[in-house]
Amino acid sequence: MLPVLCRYESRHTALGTDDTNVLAEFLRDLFSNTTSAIKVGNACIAEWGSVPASEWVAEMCATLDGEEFVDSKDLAAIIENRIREDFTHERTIEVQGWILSRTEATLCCLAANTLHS
Amino acid sequence: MVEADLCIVGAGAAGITLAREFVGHSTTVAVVESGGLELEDKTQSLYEGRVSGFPYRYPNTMRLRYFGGSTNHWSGNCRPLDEVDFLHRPWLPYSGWPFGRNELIPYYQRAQAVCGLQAFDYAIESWMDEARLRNFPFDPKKLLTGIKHISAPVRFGTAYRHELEDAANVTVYNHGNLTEIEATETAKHVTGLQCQCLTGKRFRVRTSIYILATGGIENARHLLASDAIQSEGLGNGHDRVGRFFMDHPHGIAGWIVFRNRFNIVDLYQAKTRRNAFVKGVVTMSPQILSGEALSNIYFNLAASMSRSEGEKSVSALLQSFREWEVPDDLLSHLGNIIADLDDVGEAAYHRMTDNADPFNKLRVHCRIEPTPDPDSRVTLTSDRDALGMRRIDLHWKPGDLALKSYNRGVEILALEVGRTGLGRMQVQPAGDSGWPDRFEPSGHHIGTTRMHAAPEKGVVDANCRVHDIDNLYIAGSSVFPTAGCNNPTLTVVALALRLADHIKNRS
Ligand SMILES: Cc1cc2nc3c(=O)[nH]c(=O)nc-3n(C[C@H](O)[C@H](O)[C@H](O)COP(=O)(O)OP(=O)(O)OC[C@H]3O[C@@H](n4cnc5c(N)ncnc54)[C@H](O)[C@@H]3O)c2cc1C
Repeated sequence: MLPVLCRYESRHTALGTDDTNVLAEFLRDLFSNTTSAIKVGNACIAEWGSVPASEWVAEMCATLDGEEFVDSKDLAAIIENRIREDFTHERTIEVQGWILSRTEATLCCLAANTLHS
Repeated sequence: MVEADLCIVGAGAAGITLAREFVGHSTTVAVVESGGLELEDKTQSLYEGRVSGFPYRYPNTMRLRYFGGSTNHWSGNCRPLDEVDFLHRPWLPYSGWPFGRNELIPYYQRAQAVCGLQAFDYAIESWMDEARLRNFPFDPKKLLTGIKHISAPVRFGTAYRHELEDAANVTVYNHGNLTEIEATETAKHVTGLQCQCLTGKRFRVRTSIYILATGGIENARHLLASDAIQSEGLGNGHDRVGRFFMDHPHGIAGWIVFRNRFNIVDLYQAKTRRNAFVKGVVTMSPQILSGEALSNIYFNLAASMSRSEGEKSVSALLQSFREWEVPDDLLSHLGNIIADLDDVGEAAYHRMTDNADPFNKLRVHCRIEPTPDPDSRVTLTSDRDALGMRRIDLHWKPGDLALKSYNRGVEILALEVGRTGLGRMQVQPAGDSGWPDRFEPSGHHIGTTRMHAAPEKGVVDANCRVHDIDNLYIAGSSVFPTAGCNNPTLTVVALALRLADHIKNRS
């Protein structure tokens, strides 16, 4: 279902532009509570300024570039690891006082942009 | 005229500890205490003064002027100063005690009982072994878990009054106020004390040795006010008296919301363990303090609930805590963890998450080491109190380094909470002063008669004797050259015990 995102160029392009269904599916799978993810995402967008979905995908792709993964579980583990690394290397964003990793904030923004519409 | 071998002025934590050390000793002791056994408005108003700088609750209400002193309202939190607090730290101006922490350890051990605590054991390992508890899995190069002991709290006046009353060699003179310290023409020897009662009665005290133990503001006030011989104030030849005033800024730094409901809080809850009432606190590692040039900080975590509720929940939670594992489903929890972006209020949080378990969220309380600054100071105004003594003006700034250290310390805690997968932290917004609103001083009055081996850099020497005056000593937190971030009274008591030993050896 989700051996997608940036590893395969064709899917990657589809995610960023036309195929919002695939992206939505990915995000729904990732977040158990999409309502609150959207809420967090909107707060992050308010902090960062509105950015088209493709930019978020590009950022995620850059984040995940070079990772080997086969299924959604692997992808979640990779993302979780990235989040930890964000905290280790102080790649964080402060949103309404919350200290969030850039990766998780990016995913929430993606959720806000994609799942809202 | 009151005559004895030793006069102790002030019967608070320091004065009472000193007096008790002489019970049954060959030294005769006169204790002169301003108040009676209860709070009296007229006596308390002798403490009134002016304040400026960092918002400071009026000095009148941050200390109590009757037998037992401010221990009549202290909270009983005790922790010795950390090793780093005694060191010269190049990034912290005027830092460095004339001795290291080891010098105080035997006195800290004795101070525990005086403060109503069990044995001196602040090593986190021994508490974890005992209770099979776990601490937060923070990077020990950054954050450590320490222990604090909590006293009942012992009210020194109530607890030790009868012991002093029964002692044949100790006499307590309540309602007696020191108004002037008399000295020889050279100001190198104290010859007596002038004292007054609010009734108008006056008396003189003449002893061989004198100890001021009137609290961290009044100790300086009395030296400054005793200007008959030295116009700048007794012991103030180098203009150090009253300077370097410090208190610990403290307040709520934020909240940690845990991603799992049943995380780890037991060690960080105040509970009776091995007959001691203790609690884990989060501290900064010495490496990070020196590596990032920060002043000292500690974090005290508190669940927003009553202890009885906590006791019940904790036992249910303990099992999952002991089997601590970092869960692998962070992303699925993320939304819930940070769902409540609008309002961190307890009610709203529970409404959002439909979660009545308060252990999901801890309040982070923070106390920071202030920066020694000669311009933070106690001076005398021209206003006079009912005894004719000049009132104080208290000007204090916690210092830029303290604020920088606070901000960085909170950031490090938030990063570690995220990195370890415990949850997320929401930090308090900064107010106009740069500090979060409602940050305030702790009522710990430190530094105004600072200790330093060199007379030009401090008011008292390593034995707490006023430089150049052979028979005048000072007890209390006014002698601390730096404040650390831990509550001061255990150190006040340890230093008083050490001073008592010194005086016994001297005679
Ligand atoms: C609200 C509050 C909570 C606190 N909680 C804690 C805590 O949890 N842990 C901790 O470690 N510390 C705490 N403290 C600090 C603690 O109270 C002090 O560190 C401690 O009381 C200092 O002892 P002291 O003997 O130096 O001064 P004090 O206890 O203030 O005693 C000074 C005594 O001198 C007397 N005096 C003053 N002027 C004269 C005079 N002219 N002549 C004769 N006598 C005089 C006073 O009446 C008083 O009895 C707290 C303080 C406050 C305000």
